[in-house]
Amino acid sequence: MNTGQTLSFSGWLQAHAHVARDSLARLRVNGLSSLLTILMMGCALSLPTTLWVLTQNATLASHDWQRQFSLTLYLSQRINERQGQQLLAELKRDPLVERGEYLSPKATLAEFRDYSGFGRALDLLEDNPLPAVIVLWPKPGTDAAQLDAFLAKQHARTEIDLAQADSDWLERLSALLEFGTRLVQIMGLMLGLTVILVVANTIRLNIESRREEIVVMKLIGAPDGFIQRPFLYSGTLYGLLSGVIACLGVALTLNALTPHLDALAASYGRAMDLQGLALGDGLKLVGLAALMGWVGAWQSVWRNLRHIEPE
Amino acid sequence: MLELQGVSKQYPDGQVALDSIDLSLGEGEMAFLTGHSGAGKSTLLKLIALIERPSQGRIIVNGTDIGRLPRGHIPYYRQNIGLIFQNVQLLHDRSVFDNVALPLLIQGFSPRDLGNRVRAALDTVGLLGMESKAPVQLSGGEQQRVGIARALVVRPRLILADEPTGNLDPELSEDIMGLFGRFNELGVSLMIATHDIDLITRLNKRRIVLSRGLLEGSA
Ligand SMILES: Nc1ncnc2c1ncn2[C@@H]1O[C@H](COP(=O)(O)OP(=O)(O)OP(=O)(O)O)[C@@H](O)[C@H]1O
Ligand SMILES: [Mg+2]
Repeated sequence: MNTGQTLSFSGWLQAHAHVARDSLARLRVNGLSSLLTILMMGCALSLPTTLWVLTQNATLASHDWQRQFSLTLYLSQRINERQGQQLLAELKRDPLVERGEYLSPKATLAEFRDYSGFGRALDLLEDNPLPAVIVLWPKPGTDAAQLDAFLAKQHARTEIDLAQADSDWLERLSALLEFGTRLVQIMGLMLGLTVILVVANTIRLNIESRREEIVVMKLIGAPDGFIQRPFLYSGTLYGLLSGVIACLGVALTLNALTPHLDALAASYGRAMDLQGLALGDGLKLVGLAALMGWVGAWQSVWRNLRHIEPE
Repeated sequence: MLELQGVSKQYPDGQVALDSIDLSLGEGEMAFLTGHSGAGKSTLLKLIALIERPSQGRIIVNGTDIGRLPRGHIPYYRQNIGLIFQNVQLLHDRSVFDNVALPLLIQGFSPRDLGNRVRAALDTVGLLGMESKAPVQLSGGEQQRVGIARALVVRPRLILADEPTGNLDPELSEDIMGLFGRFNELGVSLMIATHDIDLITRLNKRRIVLSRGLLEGSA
């Protein structure tokens, strides 16, 4: 009975474009309330995203700090310079180690003399009491647990009397970063859920207000897929636009925070180069937001559309 | 084309609207459904359109027992029936054109290709030139004719009409009934509920008479 139907791909595209235009037009009709909904969703999304950008920055900076952080291995007195150099060469091959340096007892003494202020007094000593030392700089990104294991291994060597790192500091830093990452995940989850629920509720109200229209469409044979299409489009559109708003929100927040972070970094004697949301990540956020909008709309459509039947 | 076997309908409030109806409509047949107000005419058409379900009995359309259609198939079943309602049921936020185009869009016509079909359907009901109007800008009779155009536009093989001329003046009623007659000549089956005894007698078609939910006559 359906003669002359065009089910070609271009026809299908046209039909979808038609619905998309329709959804946009409806969004404009409900202008103010749609705008408020989208703003609210955008704000909700910008919060975890901003936090994420900040932890990303902190992680980058922490790699930088670790570069200036070293492990000290105090060698046993029995080890001569040649053996010490050999040990250094071996340690440098370890994947955790970025670079290293051997300091002979003489060199250690010279360094000690320089910053201890004992100066001449040390010349009175007959024997140099200081051991030879190997200083290692671990690769950036090495975490505290890996370092502990590495140190324990070195400590167990007979050539090494003592292996030390200021790992308290490193542990605190990585715990803080871990905490930040978790916080981002949890907030992302909660606020993502919020966004989905907001869309679901908005679409539910939309469906409610178009109940008569849905009944008529069902009467003239519209399958669920056809009826739900504009609602899914609207939901996705809500999500997409809220993603764009969230990107703007992140940019504005970071902009407002920059002077304060600069001051904070300066107080630690460091310069901070705050990286904003990269274009790729911004696009991912928009895509993710659109997906959440679709999920919310789909949930709402699935729950509300089937109950509307002609009578 | 259409067969009812022992069909009864009792509404949830206990009202028995139809009582063991046996009835059939042949391929290409046109029949008028008459009877007093409350006789069960609308109920009968609603059962065939799957808007209501029978409490008892079977309805067979084109060899299919429609009581066994899965929920997901109902839309496709309805797409093949031209339904014309007692209360017109237009979408008020869309133009006349868009209302008539809707069944075609549902059936997958691309928006670009359906213009001619829509205008042809509007032409048959005498509303060519009204495409861009909103339903509220039309009279009751004009709205009813938009509803008829919407049912005709998909060229259905079966048309169910519930008082399609209820809001029309005698002249227009006659036009519309004449239109139905021409469709019938093209092989379309029609069942039309109406109170318009004048027209029925003049058209000399089969009459199905209901009274208090019982089939009183079918000739
Ligand atoms: N949804 C409903 N719930 C309960 N009873 C109903 C319902 N719809 C119709 N009825 C009852 O069923 C009976 C038949 O109604 P129906 O609408 O089929 O009559 P009709 O022949 O179409 O009348 P009219 O000519 O006035 O349109 C009536 O007594 C009516 O009150
Ligand atoms: Mg009726």
